[in-house]
Amino acid sequence: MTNNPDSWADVEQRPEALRSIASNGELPPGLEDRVVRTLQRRGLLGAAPRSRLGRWVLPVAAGLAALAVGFALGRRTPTVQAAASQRYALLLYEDASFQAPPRSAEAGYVAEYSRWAREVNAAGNGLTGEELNYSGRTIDSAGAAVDHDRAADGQSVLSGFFIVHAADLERATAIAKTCPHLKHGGRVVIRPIEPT
Amino acid sequence: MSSPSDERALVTRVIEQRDEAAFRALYRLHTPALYRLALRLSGGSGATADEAVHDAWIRAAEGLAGFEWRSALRTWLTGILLNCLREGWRETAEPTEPLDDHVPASATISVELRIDLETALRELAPGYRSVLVLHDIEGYTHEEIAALLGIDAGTSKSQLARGRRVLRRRLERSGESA
Repeated sequence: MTNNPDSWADVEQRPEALRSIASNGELPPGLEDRVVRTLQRRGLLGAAPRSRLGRWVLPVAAGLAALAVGFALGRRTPTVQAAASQRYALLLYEDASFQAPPRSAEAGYVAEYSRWAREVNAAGNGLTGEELNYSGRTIDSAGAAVDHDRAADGQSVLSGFFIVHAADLERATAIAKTCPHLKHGGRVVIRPIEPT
Repeated sequence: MSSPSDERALVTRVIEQRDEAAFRALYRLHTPALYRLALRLSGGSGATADEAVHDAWIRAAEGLAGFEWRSALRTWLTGILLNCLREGWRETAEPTEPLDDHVPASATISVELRIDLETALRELAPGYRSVLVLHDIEGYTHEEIAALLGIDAGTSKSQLARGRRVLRRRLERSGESA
């Protein structure tokens, strides 16, 4: 069994011979879905994208750091925090109705959340918060663990939370009602934190 | 076949709306050629090609908003794919073909085997293989290859000439042993 020397031996002079082996071939099964799943986990695809909260957590954290320095130096009076030590958790949920911004509008969202956070802090209500990644794990009482990397369509996702100081539930509600998360179709659940 | 305007519309939908259907359409449009290229450049390693194509699409999706359409989308994707492959080569200590035309004894194939063109390509050093595949199979010009690989066009030409010589020697040796 021999090669065809006329086709291969003069490959230097007939490089087009190589084109004859060009063919698409079979793609590995599952590669497309694997790529899509990775992009969904990273919030680059899907109806329920990664929360936009994280973008403004840094500006808020910077503001809080300045506030803390001001308290330490006695320049500001922590009015609400001194008068009432009740803390409330504001739990931010994204449902199917949440309107994630297009990339061109992300900067505007970030500025909006940042401005709101600064205003809450400026009023002495001491706001902290964290963004939650969509991925995680659920463990039940039987010890079974289920990993999840994004919410199924239509399911509600806890995308972040704030801790805020307020005199009472009514005041905490008034603060929560001004959160831009609501304007964008999100939902805020207010829960008092049990004092320790 | 999608028109350029169709392709731009799909890209816009992926960027603005994170539209999965639009992404899958782009994926199906470009992946057959990308995978074929990755398979050839990885010496026939399906696992390497699989990983390279996966990583290339993730990087492409992350950078899609910054793509300015100065080149064809396929060319941009190919560049990303080549970077992914070369990073893999660096990690695995890319084998190098000697710059002269001597074929070392360790690279010879079994005398009982018939060497066909695909096998010969797989045995080329990645540098020669990249240029030869991109030019003679995929049809890129030396200028395009230079941009994709980060070399100059003159190097592409000399690598191509050497790659073809080595390829021919391997095929001739196979013919002699058959």
